[in-house]
Amino acid sequence: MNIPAIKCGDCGTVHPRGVAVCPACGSEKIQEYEAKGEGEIHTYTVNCFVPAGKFKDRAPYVIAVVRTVENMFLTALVDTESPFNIKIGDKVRFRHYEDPLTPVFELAS
Amino acid sequence: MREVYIVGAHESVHGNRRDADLRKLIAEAAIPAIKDAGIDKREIQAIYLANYNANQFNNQNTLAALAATSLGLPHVPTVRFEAACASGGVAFRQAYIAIAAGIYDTVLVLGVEKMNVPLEEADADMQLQWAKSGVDYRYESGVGMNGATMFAMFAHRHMHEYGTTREMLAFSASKNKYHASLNPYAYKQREVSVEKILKSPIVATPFSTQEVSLITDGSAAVVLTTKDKALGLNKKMAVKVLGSGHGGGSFSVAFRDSHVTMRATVAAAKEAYSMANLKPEDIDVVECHDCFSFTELMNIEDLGFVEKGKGGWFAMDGHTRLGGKLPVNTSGGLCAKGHPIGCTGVGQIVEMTWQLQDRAEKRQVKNAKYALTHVLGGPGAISAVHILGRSDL
Ligand SMILES: [Zn+2]
Repeated sequence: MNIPAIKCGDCGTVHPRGVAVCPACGSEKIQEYEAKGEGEIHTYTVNCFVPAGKFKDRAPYVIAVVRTVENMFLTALVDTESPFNIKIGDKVRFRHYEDPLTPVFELAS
Repeated sequence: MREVYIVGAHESVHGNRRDADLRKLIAEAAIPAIKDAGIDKREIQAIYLANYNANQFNNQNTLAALAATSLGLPHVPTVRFEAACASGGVAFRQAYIAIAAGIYDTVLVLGVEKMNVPLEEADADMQLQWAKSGVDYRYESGVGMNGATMFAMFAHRHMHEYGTTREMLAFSASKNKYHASLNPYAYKQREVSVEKILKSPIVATPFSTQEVSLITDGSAAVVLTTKDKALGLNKKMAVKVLGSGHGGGSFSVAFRDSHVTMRATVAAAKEAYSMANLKPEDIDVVECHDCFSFTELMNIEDLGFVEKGKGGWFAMDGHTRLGGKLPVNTSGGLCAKGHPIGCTGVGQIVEMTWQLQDRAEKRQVKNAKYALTHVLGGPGAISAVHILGRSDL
């Protein structure tokens, strides 16, 4: 699955859609782009303490900074049965936006 | 630029202060700070107040004006500063600038936060939402991001790149619990062993419940004034503001130039050291923003006290403990003294003022001449660093 994104016409930065200018260089020359959904876990945490709200029943669950093959960084959920086995460098692929604010990845292997 | 001095400092007891509303907290810090300064409160020309989120925690906006009125100073001009967890450091800097520029002679800087509110007023979910509204709502709130998860991700990356361990984090946290055990103003005044910290339930890996900042009610106040006025009041007890720095970093946890160093801290420190004409090795005692156990290790690297990646080893060698070569967070820091968000940066200034005045009692660092304070707001988005020195040097 591709990820709705923008690409900067000046510096080439790819970023999830929603920004008005390029967050790396400030350029206004940004165009809509379909970013590749493959990437790896750059860093992560297993969120265990969720006393209330929509993630209460999901905990413990993985929040990660994902770095895609096009060097796009985004904060996302990584859906896995074994959250405590997650590690930096694990390959992941984009599944979908579960709601407009929540991108979800899954382990690629 | 005129020289600026701290002439009065005080803070409230930190904790779950069921006995104290915003007015009481404001009075508990401000009135003793003004008395400590030895001035008439009518000499205060402006009140700069740091507060993160009274509008949601307490249904109260425009808190600086409320503070002035509740202190019997309704005609004093006021402003509230919000910079997430850096609010207190930023408010202090703005007061410093106003006096240095000659706009005012005497300013009261107040930090206050009342985070523990009765649950009939707010259910637990809303309380969490308020505490974490300092993250980018559009890009990072949807995954359940909060302070713990963002700094947990920085910690894991640091562990991956430099070999920092959970034991190092716990060791540093245990050191700060010890410091808090000596501080009558701290929320949790008891020692906690490294073993207990490691065995406590996990909040967000790698942090246990003993490694996270506390939901705290508290207040702190300092009186800032000019050199002429300070030295006329009480020469020995005045503390000089030697350097002030304010740095910026990305507001995104994901999209930033580094996940192991906070550019905002590095920039703020550079500005402050340069203004003070001092180097990291000149500093005798530090209060830095240890919102989580790991954060202190990253901070002491970013502030230039130790090479990048070596913070954990520096802590394990005992250097950051009272009696070590660079005591850090003698107050107990944010995980033990507590973290009333807007108050924290002002509270750090109070602790360092007391250290430089030889008034820190059981926590006193001998012969402390130069002190440094550091706050960090959002995901390393805002930092303020101040360097203070004894006025008799
Ligand atoms: Zn660009």
